[in-house]
Amino acid sequence: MKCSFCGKEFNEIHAHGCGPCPMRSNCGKVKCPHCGFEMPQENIIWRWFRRRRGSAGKGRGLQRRHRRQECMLSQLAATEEAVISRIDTGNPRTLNKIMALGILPGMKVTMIQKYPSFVFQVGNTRVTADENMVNDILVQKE
Amino acid sequence: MSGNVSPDQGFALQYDEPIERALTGIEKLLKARYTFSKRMIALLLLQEEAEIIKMAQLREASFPQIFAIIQNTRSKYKDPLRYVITLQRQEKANDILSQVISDSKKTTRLQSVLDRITIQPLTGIPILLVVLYYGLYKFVGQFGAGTLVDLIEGNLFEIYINPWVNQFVAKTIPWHALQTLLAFDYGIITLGLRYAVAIILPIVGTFFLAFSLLEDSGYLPRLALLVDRLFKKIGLNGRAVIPMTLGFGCDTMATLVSRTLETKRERVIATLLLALAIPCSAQLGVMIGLLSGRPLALATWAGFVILVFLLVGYLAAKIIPGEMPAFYMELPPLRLPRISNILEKTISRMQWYFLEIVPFFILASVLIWAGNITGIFDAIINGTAPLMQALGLPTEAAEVFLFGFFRRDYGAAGLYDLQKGGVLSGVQLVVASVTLTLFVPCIAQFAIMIKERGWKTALAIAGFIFPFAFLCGYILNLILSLLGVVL
Repeated sequence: MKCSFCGKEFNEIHAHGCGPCPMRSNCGKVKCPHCGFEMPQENIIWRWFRRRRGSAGKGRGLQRRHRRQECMLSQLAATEEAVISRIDTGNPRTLNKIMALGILPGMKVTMIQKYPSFVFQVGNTRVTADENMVNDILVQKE
Repeated sequence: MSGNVSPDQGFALQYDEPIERALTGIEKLLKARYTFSKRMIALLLLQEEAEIIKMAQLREASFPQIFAIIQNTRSKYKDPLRYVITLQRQEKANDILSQVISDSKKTTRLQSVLDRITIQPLTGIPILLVVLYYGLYKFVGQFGAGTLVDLIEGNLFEIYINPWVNQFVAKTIPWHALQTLLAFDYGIITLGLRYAVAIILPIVGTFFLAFSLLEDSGYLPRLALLVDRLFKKIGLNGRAVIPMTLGFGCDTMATLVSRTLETKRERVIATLLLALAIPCSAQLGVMIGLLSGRPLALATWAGFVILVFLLVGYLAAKIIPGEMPAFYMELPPLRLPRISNILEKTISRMQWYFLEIVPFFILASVLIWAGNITGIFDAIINGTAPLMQALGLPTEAAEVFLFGFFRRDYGAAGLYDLQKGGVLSGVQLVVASVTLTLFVPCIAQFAIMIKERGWKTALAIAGFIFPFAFLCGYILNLILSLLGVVL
């Protein structure tokens, strides 16, 4: 989602802020990893709507369309192909997991299915993963 | 790559300049002897492999300098070094591969169709139900727990072995206490061994066979991806489907397998749910046999237990602190399993399981014998009479619960006897079955819980389950009698 204070886009799944607070995963707030601003979590309907729009490539501004588009792997439609451009995570353990599966930049990826879990093919390996994981993988459509 | 490099010399992969410089620097500083080459150690240090860093800290006098080199190199890149190094390695690998392989599609049509329909929810869930029905219910429940058990227990033990052992013991051993320890109703041979060989072995054997088939066909990861969303709600991820389905075979083994889950939180939740709401194959077989005469009662039992499973999982996920689980798995292609592999796997698992479980059976027999002889059991049974009344059950049911702690299926089998005697009504039967299903794990499972999760967690789980099972039974009895349901 987009931070309403500084405007940076981030993955809200990793952005539960307040350190050791026991309530942090259920308090309904997210903390922007860039500026530390706390805001309520995005509501489900709005998120669904934004993702739809995002994956259809509408309303994203003109300059974006001229560049080669970088998006999250989760925004790829089923059967769509792309090339992995980078793995975007601050968490070294997640990074290790993704690399251990052989998912690396420069490799071709084909989305096979998006629901109930993501299934995609990287090289000769077929991988299934949940949304948190797939959101950390950025791809460039061809 | 030049063609004349022989593989045993290895071929040195050149990384980019800053990494190579760091590697030579670290190699020079490494003084201790290692089983790997120094370059390997240096590479692992650079990738900040926790174990190797710990080792180097202990063994290298010049660790501070090494650490300085690592930090210096790290600052030159935007990404973690492990990422940079893997990328460069991958580039080289792609280079080599592109020279020697060519791609060709080789999957058959049937395979790709099966591949597709097993992972889509619309077709995947019906397939899952069919697999469960034939694999678990028909094969394990009816063939294993029914036909085979009847054959071995009903014929071999009841007709040949038990009478012979009873006679032999009665003739050769003069002391009554020792007689009952070895033979008759609760003897080591006539009860402990009979249960292990005649009831558990065929059930667990057929279960392992079915499970190995599923495992080797590559179906389990597909199952995992289908249930991942549901399991996330109860604080687990799709991976946990393996210990959970194993639990329907034997909860003891499933608790052991739950160590494959990644975070401690998941392991605790899985252990709790296994102990509470997953009936093992022995228990499941007896329960289904017991209730199958009354379909409505069977449905009530299954529905209530599933409800408790989801509810407790949901609450546990809310309460138990820790990281949210992540789900990722390689999805192997569906393959036709090899019979020889499956048989080998099944046999070695049965062997392992049997050796693990027999001592517990003997121990349970001895404890029951001691409890009977000293009169402790009678005291406990009398003491729990008010509890049974609260559940709307006859006092005889207390014995069932007591034995249920020694073996889950002892209890269920006891219930079977009660029902045959015509003591229980339909509602009482359902209440007793639900309470017994939820009620404490058997001794073996409890021992494994202590071993795997530690004293504190195991006791906390048991301490929660014990009153909770009776509470559930009480509530169910209340609801059913208030509604005036006749099952």
